[in-house]
Amino acid sequence: MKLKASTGRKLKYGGTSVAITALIIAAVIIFNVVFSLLTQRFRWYIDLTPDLHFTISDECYELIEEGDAEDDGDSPIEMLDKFRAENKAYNEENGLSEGDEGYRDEDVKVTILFCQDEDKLDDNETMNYVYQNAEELRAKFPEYIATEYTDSIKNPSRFQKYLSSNTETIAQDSVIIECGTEYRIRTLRSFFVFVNDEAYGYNGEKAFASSILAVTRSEAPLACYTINHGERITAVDSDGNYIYGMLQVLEDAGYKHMPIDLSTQDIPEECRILITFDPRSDFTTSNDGTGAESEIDKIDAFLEDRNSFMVFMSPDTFSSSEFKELENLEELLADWGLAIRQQGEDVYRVRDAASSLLGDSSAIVANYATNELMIPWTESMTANRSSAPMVVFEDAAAVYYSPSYNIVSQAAVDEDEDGTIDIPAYTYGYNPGFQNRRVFDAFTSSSSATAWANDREMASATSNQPFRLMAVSVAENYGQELYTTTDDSNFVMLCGSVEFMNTKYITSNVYGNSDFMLSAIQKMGNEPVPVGLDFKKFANYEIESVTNEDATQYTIVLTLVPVIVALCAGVFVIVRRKNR
Amino acid sequence: MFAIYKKELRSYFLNAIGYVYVGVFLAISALLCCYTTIGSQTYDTANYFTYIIFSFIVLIPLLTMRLFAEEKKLRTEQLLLTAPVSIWGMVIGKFLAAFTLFLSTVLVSCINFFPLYAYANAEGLNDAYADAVGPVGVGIISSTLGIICIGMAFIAIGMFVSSLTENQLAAAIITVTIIVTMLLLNLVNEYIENYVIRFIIDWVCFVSRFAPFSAGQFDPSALLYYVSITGVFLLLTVRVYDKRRWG
Repeated sequence: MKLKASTGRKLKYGGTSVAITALIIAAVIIFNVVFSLLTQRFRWYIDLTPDLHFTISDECYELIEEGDAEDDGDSPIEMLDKFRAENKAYNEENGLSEGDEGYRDEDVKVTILFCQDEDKLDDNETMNYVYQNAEELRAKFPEYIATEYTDSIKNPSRFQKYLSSNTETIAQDSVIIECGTEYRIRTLRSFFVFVNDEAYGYNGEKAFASSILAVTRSEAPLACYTINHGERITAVDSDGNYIYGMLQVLEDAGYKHMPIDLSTQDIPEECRILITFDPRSDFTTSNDGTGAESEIDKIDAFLEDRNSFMVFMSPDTFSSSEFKELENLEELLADWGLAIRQQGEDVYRVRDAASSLLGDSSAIVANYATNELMIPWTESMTANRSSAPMVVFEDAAAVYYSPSYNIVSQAAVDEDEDGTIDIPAYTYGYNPGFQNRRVFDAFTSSSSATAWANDREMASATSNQPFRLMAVSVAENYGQELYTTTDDSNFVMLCGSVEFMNTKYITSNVYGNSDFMLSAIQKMGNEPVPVGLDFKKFANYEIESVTNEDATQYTIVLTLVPVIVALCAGVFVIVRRKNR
Repeated sequence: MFAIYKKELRSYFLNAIGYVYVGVFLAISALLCCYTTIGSQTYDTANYFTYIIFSFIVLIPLLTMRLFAEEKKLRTEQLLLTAPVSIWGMVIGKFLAAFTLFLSTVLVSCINFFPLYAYANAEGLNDAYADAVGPVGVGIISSTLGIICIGMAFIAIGMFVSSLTENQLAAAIITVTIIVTMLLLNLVNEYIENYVIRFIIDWVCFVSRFAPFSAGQFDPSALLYYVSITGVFLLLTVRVYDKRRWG
């Protein structure tokens, strides 16, 4: 049976045709919208960057899902499961349901909160890396990690809780990683590695991993740094950038940090690590007759609570004509087997032309110490590399064991008796008065180093006795809880170089200064930090060998030749056609 | 359909328009490539691909303005409408002719990348330049695919506009207007407070959808979008001629 002409016409151009066309277009739009949403949700993108800046590595996923192999603690995912179970049990016990006062979130997640609307993030080239990584994490762990985008200027109330407890303002390019009541605010800059103030690489994986590790811990780790002794931890250059990377390393390790004036403030209970960075004046003791608890007393009490202390000094610390010694601080360090000088001598400046950077004998490339304390601290630095990274001590002072400590020589150890030396022979300091305290070398100079004071060479290193550049004292506190042994050791570290923490070493992946500090913070603070995640260097797209003349020549040739060929072909064809 | 395709493709080269298009496109692409890469001493081609899209504002209307407008003006469209070929066949034949010229010109313009690879090779052999990465081949391929899909969509839009008018100039101007709008729509986002509206505008804007390619990310939903635009405007062109044939 033939279709009636009128029906055929309606179908072809009438109202029916319009309706069908509209339906088809609507279906195409809906399909596109759905596909776009699915692409965004399941991350069906392909990362084409040379160093996969938009991709999270398997190591990072493993760290979040299974935790750090070196750390016995729970992974962030495991901690979230624990929090959920605890909250559920609490709610059931108290008969609380959702919406009731006191109800605890049974679906607690890590939230990555951006302070701008989502559509503005991929417009910004640098923010886009952070945004894409956050979405990758969300897509990988959708039940444990959520992303949120709120304009902090239009919705200030959302950010009130962060502002009330944070003295800094929250910039719109900041990222807040939050879990329950714990949060970390990261500036955009902290996601990148800078060299000479230029973005050198992208460090988002480590930034996210450390923040997620930090907020899923059951307690907030805090590091305090002393002030009012001329310390220069927050010293800035002429552009306003920090000269030293101590605070950045603490942030990378997932720590909160705060300054503390020990003369007027007590050290907070949750503080795990105290740092004194290049103090130019001494600390008070109870002998000063002030009557109040002295600064040294507070540090002593802090250490007795099994917390750790880092001291950074250099020969320049004592360059002031007024303070040739920091008597009280040095006495405290001596209790822990550490000294910045030999008794009665000046502080020695170590130089080593044979083992230094670019012939600058003051920027020493140090040797790793191989003793039972240091091997676990530094082995993660070599896990993914063919050789240990250079650790640089610039303008370093020689560090000594205090005279009250006896030197003990430890023979080489073959743990599994297979004929291979597992731990080479080493020496350490041992305090007869504090039986649980020992002091170890962390880094030493080479055997060609020399020590200088007042522009005179005072001593030379030997292969058996190199100069110490950093030493760590440990008080081993083994406890017994039910059927498990716990290691609650605490540490005092003395670094003979303030420039060790200079940002030129800390922000560079060439040097191991930052990795060592992350490992040290992990050991000293008993905090898990992602030491094994490397930053991703930005590709160098610069054509270094091209000259202006070359560029001009190529431009002329590539522009003119195809045009001339096309025009000639056109003229030929058209003229030939006209002449037929 | 194949006959229409051949006829249309040949017609581009029987008068000046094909040669002008090829010459202008290759000149513009060479200038842009040299300016954004060798002239700027960088292997990064992201800026080149972004700028070349804006050259379509002028070049695509050159290809599409006469596709149907000329037939109408010369009153030869009756021949097409009564020919033993479906409307779809006719539309796709003309579309493919324009697309073939566009695609072959884009592929020929890839010779502009040869100097980059030559420099990358030379620097790769020289230890003094050990740091350089050279042009990212995968990125170039995906961006080229992206601009081909964008060009394809613009050709479909231009062809639709051409089917609506018999004046080639009007067809060109309207096509330019639409292309400029589709490319620069996201500029208004700066003044829009509502996130949903900004999201929709970003979703529709061609440059916003191409941005991931520039950044080094292949976005399959963007390619689907461009292909969908092509399909929709081909459908609309067919509907216009369906109405003419049966009206």
